[in-house]
Amino acid sequence: MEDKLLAIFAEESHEIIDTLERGLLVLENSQDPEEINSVFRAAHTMKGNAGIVGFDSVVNLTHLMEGLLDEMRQGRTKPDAETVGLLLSGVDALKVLVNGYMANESPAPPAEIMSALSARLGEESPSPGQARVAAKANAAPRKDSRYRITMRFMPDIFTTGTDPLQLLMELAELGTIERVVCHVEDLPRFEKLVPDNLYFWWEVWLLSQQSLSTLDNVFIFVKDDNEITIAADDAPGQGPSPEPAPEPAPVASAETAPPAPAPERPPQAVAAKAPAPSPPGKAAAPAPVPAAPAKAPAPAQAFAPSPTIRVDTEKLDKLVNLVGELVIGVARVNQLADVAGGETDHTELSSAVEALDHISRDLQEQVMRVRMIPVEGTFNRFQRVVRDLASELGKKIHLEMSGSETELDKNVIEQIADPLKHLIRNSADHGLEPPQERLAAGKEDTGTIWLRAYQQEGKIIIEVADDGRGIDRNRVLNKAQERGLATPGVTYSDKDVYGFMFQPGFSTAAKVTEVSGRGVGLDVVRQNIEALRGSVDVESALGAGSTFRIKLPLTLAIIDGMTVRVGGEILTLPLLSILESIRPLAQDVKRVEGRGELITVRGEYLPLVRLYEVFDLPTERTDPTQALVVIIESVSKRFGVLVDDILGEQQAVIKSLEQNYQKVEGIAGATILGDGTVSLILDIHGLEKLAFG
Amino acid sequence: MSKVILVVDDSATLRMSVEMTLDPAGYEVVHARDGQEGLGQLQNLEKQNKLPVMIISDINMPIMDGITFIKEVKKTPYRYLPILVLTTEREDSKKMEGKKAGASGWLVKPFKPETLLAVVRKFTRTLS
Repeated sequence: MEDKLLAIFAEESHEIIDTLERGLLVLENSQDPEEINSVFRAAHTMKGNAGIVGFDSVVNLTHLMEGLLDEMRQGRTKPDAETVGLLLSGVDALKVLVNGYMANESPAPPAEIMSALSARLGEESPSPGQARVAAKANAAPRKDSRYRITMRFMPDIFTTGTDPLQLLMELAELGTIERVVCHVEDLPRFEKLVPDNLYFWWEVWLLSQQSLSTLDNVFIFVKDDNEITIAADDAPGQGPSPEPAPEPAPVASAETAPPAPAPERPPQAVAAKAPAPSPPGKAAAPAPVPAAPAKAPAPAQAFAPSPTIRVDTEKLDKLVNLVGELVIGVARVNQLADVAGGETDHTELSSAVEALDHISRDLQEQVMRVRMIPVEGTFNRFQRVVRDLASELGKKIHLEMSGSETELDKNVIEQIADPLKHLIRNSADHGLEPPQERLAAGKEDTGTIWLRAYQQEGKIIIEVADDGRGIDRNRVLNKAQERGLATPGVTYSDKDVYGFMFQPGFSTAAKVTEVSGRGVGLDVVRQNIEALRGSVDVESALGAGSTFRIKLPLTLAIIDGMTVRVGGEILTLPLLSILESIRPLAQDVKRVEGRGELITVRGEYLPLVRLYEVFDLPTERTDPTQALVVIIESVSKRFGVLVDDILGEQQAVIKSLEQNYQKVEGIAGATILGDGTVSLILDIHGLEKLAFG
Repeated sequence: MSKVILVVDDSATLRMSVEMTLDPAGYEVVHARDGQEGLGQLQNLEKQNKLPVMIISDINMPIMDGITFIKEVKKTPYRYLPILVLTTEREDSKKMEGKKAGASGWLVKPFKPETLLAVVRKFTRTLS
């Protein structure tokens, strides 16, 4: 149970920290009071939550941040760069603190930030928002004391949700009620009676060991607005008992307490007698319940039920998997129906199977869609990244985002953040020029980085573009030759040249900067993206900027594949990587010393990979002119893959080999075909490694 | 049948801590993240024929704050439900505002579980 609370706290903290960060960045540029409010609220909630789980350092830090934000809210402090900067460093410290606590440490609040915040607030020392000291312990007296308690309430007490009967019952729990007198003399004539009002008042004699303050606490919420007196009393309610005293009851009971003035007026009875379902709705207003909200100022949306629920991703994965199985199963039935239909007339069967096929595919699509979330969250994080980069590099950078509503599989989104961050750093560091250089080049001194997402042909495209200096082809080529990646004298296309940048160990940065050049190059970006079965390419114009374009599949669970045959095996190639397929002529295939086997495609020489050799599959079709060559494009190169035959295109639900067997180089997973046979799905990146080392 | 309590607060952590306190005591806690959701939940609960015996509400919330929420509840047939307002020290004036709007009681955050339980018991006593 405790863990569950902590898990929720951790999850919510991340959301709050995101909100804080995003909100603060917006505030720096605008002074929107609504934004100030929402940032304040975030800090406020953070503090409250930390108090609940007992993370004092977080409480202390957020207390100060909240204070400063409150100043802002009151208009006493402006959200200038300095203030926002200070609060942002507070947010960073929050992350560290929360992580620390979650790792079972007891991190101390950051002294420097705390004192800077205190200084801004004009507080001498950080005053922790400590939990309020709990009510004084009651040293209960041994002996019973007698108390006389009078309770006179406002006539409309019921509409504050307080029921005097409950107070009587609470008193009864604290001791023995000797006597209760209910005064009914204020009850008006029936015509004047307001059913909602309370006309009675009570006198109670209580024998109790409790202290006066404990009894006082019973009335904690009502004593300010109602006449409540509690006094020690020696006489057991003879003297004080007023004249009209109608048969004093020995013990407080329902009969004495609410002898309801109007029989059909049971508000107090609602709370008291019946915790049961319907009463308040029926009792209070004659109007049917749905009519009531119509009077509310915000009627239409006011009663919208909660729009979202949280679901464990594991459950979703299971669902996706099961639906995948369903689709395969239906495809199988479909095939069998076809076979059966060939012999006899089975139109009804095949139309039923067809309908089933439709439904299961729709179902699959919908289930997949559940996993999709907008890239917005990830995108927004980069505002901060760019801001930090700009100050680190001494450049002026504006980040322009579009398409943040574009949806992607949650798994993909989680794994795309790092590569994107890297590309943005790359653009900020290598792409954009320092302000003077930009001015000298006749550009605005502020550089722009664009982050765009959109959907195209069933793929998600994410672009990181800048209006910087562009990629210097010759410098890249020189470097590639230096590193032995390119062969001097060979003519390379732009694409080939840019491809070198994605090779391991390639770095053109003349000097290693704090920002990039951390030994992690674009090759890692490529690997990450290819692991997501995506691809990345570059466009660039010298002096005008570069665009890195990432193409991603909509989902990781399904792959659009081309099924091919090699010997007795059926393999699936990811369609995303396939350019075309050809049947080569004898003169198109050559073996070149040092470069292996090559195939000419419209004058271009591409390496040829014989799949049956790579995977050691026995086949008769070893003559390329009798077989087919599928041209594959990966980030770094294009190459041909020799297969026996192409069987068709098919959506494949990917089953992980790693989970069910073990990782196999060059194989991304397996899928079950319509006829029930298993087909291995090739991993292009891995295949490339196998074939070219 | 367990007594239902509606908790309206934008902090999931707070709602969970309330639930963890009240659940073992036999209360069923229904969540809402803001006043508007709270009103919706009241309707949902009525449809399921399990109206709450009490509402616990935060003050400072997005979309619809606690004060507005209480005022809205007071316009409906649910106006006799006890409403406990959760406040912080900073919001002392809010306590008054809440009271004026028709709240039945208040509790300062962060609170001890036993305090919450005591206050909830206070408003949910029945004769049976």
